[in-house]
Amino acid sequence: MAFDLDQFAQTSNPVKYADLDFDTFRTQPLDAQTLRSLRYMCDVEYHTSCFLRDLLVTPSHREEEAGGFMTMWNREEYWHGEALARVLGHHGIVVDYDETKAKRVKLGWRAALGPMKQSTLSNLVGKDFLAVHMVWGAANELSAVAAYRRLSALTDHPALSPLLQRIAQQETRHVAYYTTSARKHLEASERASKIVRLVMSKVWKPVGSGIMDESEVRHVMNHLFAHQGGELDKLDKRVQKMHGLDGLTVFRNAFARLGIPA
Amino acid sequence: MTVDLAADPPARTDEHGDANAVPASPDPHASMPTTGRYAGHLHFDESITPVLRTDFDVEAYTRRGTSRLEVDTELHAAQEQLGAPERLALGLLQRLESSALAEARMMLATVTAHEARITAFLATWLVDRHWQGRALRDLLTGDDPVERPVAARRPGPLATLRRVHVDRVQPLLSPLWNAAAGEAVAAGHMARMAIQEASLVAGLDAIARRLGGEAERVVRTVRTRHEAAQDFYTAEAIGRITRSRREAAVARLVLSLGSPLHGGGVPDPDLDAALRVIGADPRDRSALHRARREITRLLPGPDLPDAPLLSLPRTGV
Repeated sequence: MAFDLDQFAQTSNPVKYADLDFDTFRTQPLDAQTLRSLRYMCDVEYHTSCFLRDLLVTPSHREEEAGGFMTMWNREEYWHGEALARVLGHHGIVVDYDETKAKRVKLGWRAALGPMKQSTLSNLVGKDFLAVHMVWGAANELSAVAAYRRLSALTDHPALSPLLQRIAQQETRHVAYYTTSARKHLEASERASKIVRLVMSKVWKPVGSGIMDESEVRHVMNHLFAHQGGELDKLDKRVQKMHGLDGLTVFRNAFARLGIPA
Repeated sequence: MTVDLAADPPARTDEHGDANAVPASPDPHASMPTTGRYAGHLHFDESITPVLRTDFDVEAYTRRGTSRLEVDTELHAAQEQLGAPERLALGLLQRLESSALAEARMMLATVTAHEARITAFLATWLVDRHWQGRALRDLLTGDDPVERPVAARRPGPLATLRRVHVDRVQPLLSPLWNAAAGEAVAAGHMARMAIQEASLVAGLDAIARRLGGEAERVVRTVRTRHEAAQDFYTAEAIGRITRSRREAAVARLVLSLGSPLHGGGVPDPDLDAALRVIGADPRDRSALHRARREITRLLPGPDLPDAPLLSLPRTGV
């Protein structure tokens, strides 16, 4: 089924939380592990503009549908970051403009070379790089949905759990776009399938790996996905349904490399 | 309220009863300052220049409704057809509107991407420009799934080369910009966008006066939507240019390397012809020049005219 960009764009709204009683964080504060994971999620959401940058230096930005999607996606992820920052703010953790800037500045050359690396790769690979972009995005969004739902279930908090469920719900719309678009590009080119297989099996890491310290990646993935092999298999099956990607175990491999017990 | 962030257990014991294989690392929040200027901040400290804050309310902007600008295409089709000059000018303005992602690409590929207040603004601004471009497109081609307002002229060899440069070479140069200009490059980007937004406002004003009916309504609505972005970029540009000579010099350099009327850095083949339509009236020519002068008057060195505007007559300006 084709992805309806107009429908997606016209129904792109801020994640709602005004009806959630954030005062419950006074009586039921979140534990340190959860806050640490939430901080990771918040940083990753706020970092979407930098992921957007890396995507815009590929041929994707000339594609009308991809450009329209990225425009809406970037804003929705910003709203997610804002909502999570409010939760963290209730626990004395400040994620404001200065903090976000500081995080980006301290990434140094790691971040600065991102556009150059992406651009070089896309120049070398050509239009088939779009397939990599879409499958990579699908894997990121699938894992984000699973992470939000898992944290929601783990905390069972009257304000946090519904907020995370709502964010997860919006992320499923992103999954729909990426998987639909990935299928289109994979079915159009056998070479694209081969490149995607290679990149996803060897290079993909959980979303946020490029910007967060490895200790934080390990903490979050361990917190949410340790002994969740069944969940990882479900995620892998979603990717395996795409043309030419059968048998690929992106999530199992990436989590094993991190040493997360399945 | 705060919690004891140092209380993270050394290893989590889960429902399987065994400690995780990954050894627990200390929670960085445990060493976060809890008092003073940097209280609650993990990364923000004295080594970081705080973000520039102008009078523009970014929070309010990001929360405002940004919906599709409805165009009654049936009504528009039933009304008097757009004249060829108006169609030409609107086509240029539509493509300039739609260049927002390419403009964002230029900004985000450099350390301007560090400026969190700017990237927060961009998240909503890109959506605004998406819908503004769509509304003008609906006027020109209806809600057609395929047809797009393309330029009447073919791009020349220089424009083609420029496009190749922007697509393939420019991102490779971003580390050089970062190393040479650092944060000051944001002043250049803000100056460029302030001029582009003000020029779009001037162009839309000029064309709206030549239209009637649904077309005029839509163009005026799009023009009104631009006001917030014009205010944001102008305040950012002036705030940065006037706070340091280095930022002013970098802004001058950025503006001298490309016209803000070249959306995404690529010249539109119809630009000169469309500017002759937009600038037919002296007051509109004045508005176009003013859009640029508002910023360039603050830059060091002699006047910095924009090449595309030089083709317009100076009479009445």
